[in-house]
Amino acid sequence: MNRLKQAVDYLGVSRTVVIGFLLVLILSVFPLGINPGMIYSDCLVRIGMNGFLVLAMMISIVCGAGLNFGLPIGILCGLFGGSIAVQFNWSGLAGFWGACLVSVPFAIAAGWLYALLLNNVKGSEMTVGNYMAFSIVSLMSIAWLVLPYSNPKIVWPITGVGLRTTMTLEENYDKVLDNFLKIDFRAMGILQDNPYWKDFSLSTGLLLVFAAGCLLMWLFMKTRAGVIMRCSGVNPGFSRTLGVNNNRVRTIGIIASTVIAAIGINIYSQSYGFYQFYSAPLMMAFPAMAAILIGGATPRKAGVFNVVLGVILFQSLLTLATPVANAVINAGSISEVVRIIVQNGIILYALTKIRANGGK
Amino acid sequence: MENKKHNKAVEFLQDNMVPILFTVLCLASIKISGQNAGYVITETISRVGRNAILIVSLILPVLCGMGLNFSIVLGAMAGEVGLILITHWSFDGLKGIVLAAVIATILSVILGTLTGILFNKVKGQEMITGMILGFFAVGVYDLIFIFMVGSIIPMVNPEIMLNSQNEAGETIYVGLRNTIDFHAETKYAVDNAWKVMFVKFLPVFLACFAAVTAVILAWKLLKKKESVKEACLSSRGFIITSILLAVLQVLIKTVPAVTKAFFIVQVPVLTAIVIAAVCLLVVFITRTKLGQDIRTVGMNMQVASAAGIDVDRTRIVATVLSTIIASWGQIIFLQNIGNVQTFNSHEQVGTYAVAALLVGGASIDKATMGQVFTGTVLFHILFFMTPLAGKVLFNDPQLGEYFRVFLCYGIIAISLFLYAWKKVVAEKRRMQKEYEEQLAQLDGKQGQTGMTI
Repeated sequence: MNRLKQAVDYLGVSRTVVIGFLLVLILSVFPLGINPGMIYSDCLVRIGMNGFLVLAMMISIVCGAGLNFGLPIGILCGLFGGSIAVQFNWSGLAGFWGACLVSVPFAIAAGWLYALLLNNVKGSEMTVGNYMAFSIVSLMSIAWLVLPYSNPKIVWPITGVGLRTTMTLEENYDKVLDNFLKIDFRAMGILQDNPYWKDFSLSTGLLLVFAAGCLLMWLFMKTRAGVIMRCSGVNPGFSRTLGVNNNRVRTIGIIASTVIAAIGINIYSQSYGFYQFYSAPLMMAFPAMAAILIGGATPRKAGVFNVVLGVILFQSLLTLATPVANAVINAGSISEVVRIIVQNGIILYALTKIRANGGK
Repeated sequence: MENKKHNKAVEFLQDNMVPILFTVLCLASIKISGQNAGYVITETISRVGRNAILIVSLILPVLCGMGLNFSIVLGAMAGEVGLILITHWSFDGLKGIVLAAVIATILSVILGTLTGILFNKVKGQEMITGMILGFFAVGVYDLIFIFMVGSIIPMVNPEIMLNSQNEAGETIYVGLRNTIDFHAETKYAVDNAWKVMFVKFLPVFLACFAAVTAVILAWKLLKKKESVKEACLSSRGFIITSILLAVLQVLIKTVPAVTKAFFIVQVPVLTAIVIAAVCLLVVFITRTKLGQDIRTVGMNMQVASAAGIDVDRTRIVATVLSTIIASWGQIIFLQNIGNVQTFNSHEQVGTYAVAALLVGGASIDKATMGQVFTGTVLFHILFFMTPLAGKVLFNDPQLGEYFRVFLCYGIIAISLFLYAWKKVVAEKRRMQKEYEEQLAQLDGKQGQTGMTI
């Protein structure tokens, strides 16, 4: 009992409620006649898909720049790398990592510029970053149309210029990470007589990459540079007296956030099977933000634990909500509407927790 | 002397950089698209007519120091609810619109109060909060009008609701249709109530405007005992507008090309009167005690609080007023469109209104009526011309479409950046000055001790 109380204290009441609700959803799958193996596999895939984007959000919080509303900038760099990879027909695991590698230099450059911008507007990073990201997304929409892509597979069929809105990765690296060391019960013939578990599969590669990312981030936070970054983020004034160059720390953090976002969108897209261009990246920062906040982070403090817990809670809730809601009340797209309300409600709640001039 | 004049010209250019740049862009896209002047003018008048009030609604929060109120989306939703209800009740025509406005006002007071309370919890982050609040409200609105109407909220109306079959095979109505057409009498009710040809309207309008200008000038000269130069300077907006109108009138009378361009243009007089009334209301509010409070809070919350102003309450009142005006603006907007896209009409209201205001030369902490109208005209000309220009230039209207979205977000981003940057630089300068003062004090003390030793 004491243990339980300790756990609740550690997680906070609201998070315990969310976890309880999630457990109810997870168990309700059985009586409602939804195929549990399939839905649990989906949850795991969704967690792996979105994990890196949430990690990107975390390092931006740790370095003191708050919630990174400029995540789409990193995502655009990743999409640019990906579009180059598909243009030259790269495929397989090598092709995927090639795409990530190509996007990194762009992400570093963009991240550096973005950090320069944010360091000049301390206290209004969120507002400025948000609209800067929006305008760059729309600027890149023009770029997607006019850049000289020539691979007939990815340009508009009739005119022959400009990227399509969605670009399939079927012949490139569709699900390469998902299928890496994949444990598929159906293909392997495990538990095939069990009606509940016969469709279960575990996307080992995807989850391994996420785990590796989390581990690296956790290790980085333990290094000297990581400790300085945490210190500078939590209390910039105090760090300055210790001789820490806050602006430099923030620059490093924001560049790292942009690079991780660039890799993150490639991971997301290979699992999704498509790259989405034009206005798709516009709103991609918000689910990542909601995930890390639901995991217990605040706009001033975050850790790897918050990332893992948050992405598991948020993405599982979303994945489970659709079939469960449909089975219970038969109301089509209600889960999408609930997602909008929950996601933005969480962000709003977190915003009210930042006091005025909290950035100073 | 000449140098001074030169400086003044440069200053003028710097102060009005954004409107000038956008005027150039507008003229270029009109030229490129090759549309005739009549079309451009008709379209501009109709767009200014339907958007002006939405943009006016942004002024009070700006004066109150809360920045650009992206949460006018909530006001827009209130307006939509009003219009949907009068369509449901078949309470049509002008009286229906008035009823819709009343409903919208009541809803706006509630929503605006809640928004104001939220804004008071996030002082300094109102803009981003307003934006997220807009998204949140869209979710709640969808929840109510897709799922609750018909199931929890009792309402049956095949005309505006979606039908489906339940398990028992009965037809049930749940959720609103995506597009709700207004009834014939409600459509364009305000616009069509009193339409006048522009060529006939202009002389009357010019006379009225000139008279108002003259009254203001006379009042300033005689009552306030200002000098002629001062009076002219302080009411230069009125004088310039009168002169421009007069020039236009002369041009229409003398130049055939201009006459032709304006010949088909009609002016919805009632809409114009409503817009003028709302503008006057806002100007009137800024002149009252409440307006003074709003300005003081906008300048410095600590000072206002020390002066005995209830800061939180003033901010809530400003938000409520902004939301109410936005709801009226959305009603005028939608009656001009003729239908409501139930789930999309309000989506971009905040972004477009804010961008238009900024195009007019306003900033995060300063906005005037002149900027509202300059901005509305420039932004909306650009808004419908860029796809046409893009089609001519690149054979692709999509490009112009993306360009206008980019302009929209870009102008907001740059204004926000400049404002935040100025604030940071001012803060740095203040700290530097304090530091130097402290150093000087220290030096002075050391000097004294040195003397005694």
